[in-house]
Amino acid sequence: MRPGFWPYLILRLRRVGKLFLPLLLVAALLMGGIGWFGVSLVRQDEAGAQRVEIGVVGDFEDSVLRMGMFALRNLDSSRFSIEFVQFSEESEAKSRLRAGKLNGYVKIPEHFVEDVYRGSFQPLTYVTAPGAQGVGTALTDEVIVSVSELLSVSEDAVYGAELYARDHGVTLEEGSAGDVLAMRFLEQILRRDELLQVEILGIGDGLSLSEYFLCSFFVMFLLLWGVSASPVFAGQDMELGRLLKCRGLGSLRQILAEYLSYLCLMLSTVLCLCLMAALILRGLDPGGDIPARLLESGFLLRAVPVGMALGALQILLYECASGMLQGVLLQFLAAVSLGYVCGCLYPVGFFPEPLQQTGNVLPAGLARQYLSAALSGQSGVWLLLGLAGYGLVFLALAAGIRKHRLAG
Amino acid sequence: MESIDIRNVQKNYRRKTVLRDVTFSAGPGECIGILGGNGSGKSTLLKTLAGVLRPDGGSFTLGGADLFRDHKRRAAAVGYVPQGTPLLRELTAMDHLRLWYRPEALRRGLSGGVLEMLGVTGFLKTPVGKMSEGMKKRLSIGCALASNPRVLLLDEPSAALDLVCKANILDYFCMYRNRGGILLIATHDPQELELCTGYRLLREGVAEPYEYRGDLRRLSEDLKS
Repeated sequence: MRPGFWPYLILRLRRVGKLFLPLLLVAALLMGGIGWFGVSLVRQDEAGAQRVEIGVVGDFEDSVLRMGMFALRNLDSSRFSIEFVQFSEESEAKSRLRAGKLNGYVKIPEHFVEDVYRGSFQPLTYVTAPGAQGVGTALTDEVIVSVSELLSVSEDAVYGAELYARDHGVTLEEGSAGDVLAMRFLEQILRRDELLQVEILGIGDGLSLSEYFLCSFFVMFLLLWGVSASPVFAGQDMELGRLLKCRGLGSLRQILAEYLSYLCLMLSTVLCLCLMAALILRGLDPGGDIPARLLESGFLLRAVPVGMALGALQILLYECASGMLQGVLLQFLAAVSLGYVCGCLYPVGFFPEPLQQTGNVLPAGLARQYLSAALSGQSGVWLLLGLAGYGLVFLALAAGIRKHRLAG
Repeated sequence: MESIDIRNVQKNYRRKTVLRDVTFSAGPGECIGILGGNGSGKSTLLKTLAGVLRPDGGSFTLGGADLFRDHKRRAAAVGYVPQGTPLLRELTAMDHLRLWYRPEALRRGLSGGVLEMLGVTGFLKTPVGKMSEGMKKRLSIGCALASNPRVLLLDEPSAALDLVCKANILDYFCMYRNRGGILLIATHDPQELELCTGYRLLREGVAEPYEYRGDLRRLSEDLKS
């Protein structure tokens, strides 16, 4: 009898059936770890976004500058998210920045007010530390740029108000009617929230931060699943393969049978974990719509082609590894590097443009975008084709390596 | 009953010639011992004949049919037992037998057939991970015999086995030979050598006829030379 493709597939399915429970346990731990990391990252970012502390260094003797700062602190809509701390000495601000107690500081140059009066002021300088405070750092940098512009504009406004007052025969003194006039003028300038409706589309692919991380961590979980399954799939002995080849079952059909059984194991594990996660979420938040949303958006359905492409990649990596340890290392390095470059660990929008473009065409990047497309209501047909292409290439490469190993 | 005829078999690994010109034949009921030092090409010869490796030249015929070309015939006529373990450690003996045997043939093999003779019936539900080396080897042989092959290629079949297990396996090979089967055994083991009816010494890629008279010391000197 020649053992054909189906008997071999059944053998492989029997094997993964026996490995299901231990791997489910490992995958549950993995998913728990990733979930915990994701939730803490989102919470940290939300907390960070609520309070950004920015220092302002300069000479505040001038009443106009004091008024500008007052306006920023009390009138501008940024007062809800930004706290301004005044420093007379730059060294003090610098040491607080180095200690991580400050997100950055704006340096007001000497004679700034006089320059403003002359109509040509020096630009303000903002100083910040290289990002090590998570997602919030990039946002903070943007905020500081905005503040430095705002401060210039507000000083300009105060100056304009004073000129207006002078032109109308009013002498501005602190607490006088002139001040009130200047403040009203400022109020008009700084009420940006009434002039502009700001809608935050999110961190990437038009998703909220939580949705983005849901997609990216799901891809990361599938990538890391390959690591947890390495002890049983990596560095296989080729004797069985050789015997099968003698009986007419070539390397391509061997790989295909192994891939299908691997896929069954991976997808059934993911399905079980998603069901468990849905039940937990329902228990924690009975009114929440996350499980229903995932079903309605087709997110879970899209996990199948994503799993197929990443599963093919993992089969290729197992095939490249000559032993278990090598397999674990290979899978881990591939998961972490792909996950990082493709924006599964950190929002891809914060990377330089060339890196973003590279990450978006790699398998994990395509997978993340394909899942994101489900939540943003897009079809993602090209992404699906890209994933299918990758899957086929990986399987063909794995079959080529198997052929080489069988001959060895 | 058909004989095998191996003619000018060649096999190269990149630039290295492992088998240059292997020529010999064996008839029904014959057991040929393939001898040679480490790296002489014993395993390569068996793998080439079994179809694991593609030959670079020569022919391997059984009753006139070229088995290097007729893969289906070879799969049915040739059984191969590799030196390693072609088994998955999580699965039981029964799981493996189901891969190689049709249900009817499996029933026959288990009740008074070859699998019972090999003693595989005693550990059908044991996972490979919990089997002894002897059990694994008996199961491997059982799997190789699924197609009821005329030719059995054995790569050091009783290496690392205990005496009882070795005796059990050798008894079966003896019976196989006596029933008209053809055995090619790559070995250095004295008990396996006693089973053989003829010998070929692989040296520099050529299989030379060899006279073995139970003198292991002479054999080891010949292997060194």
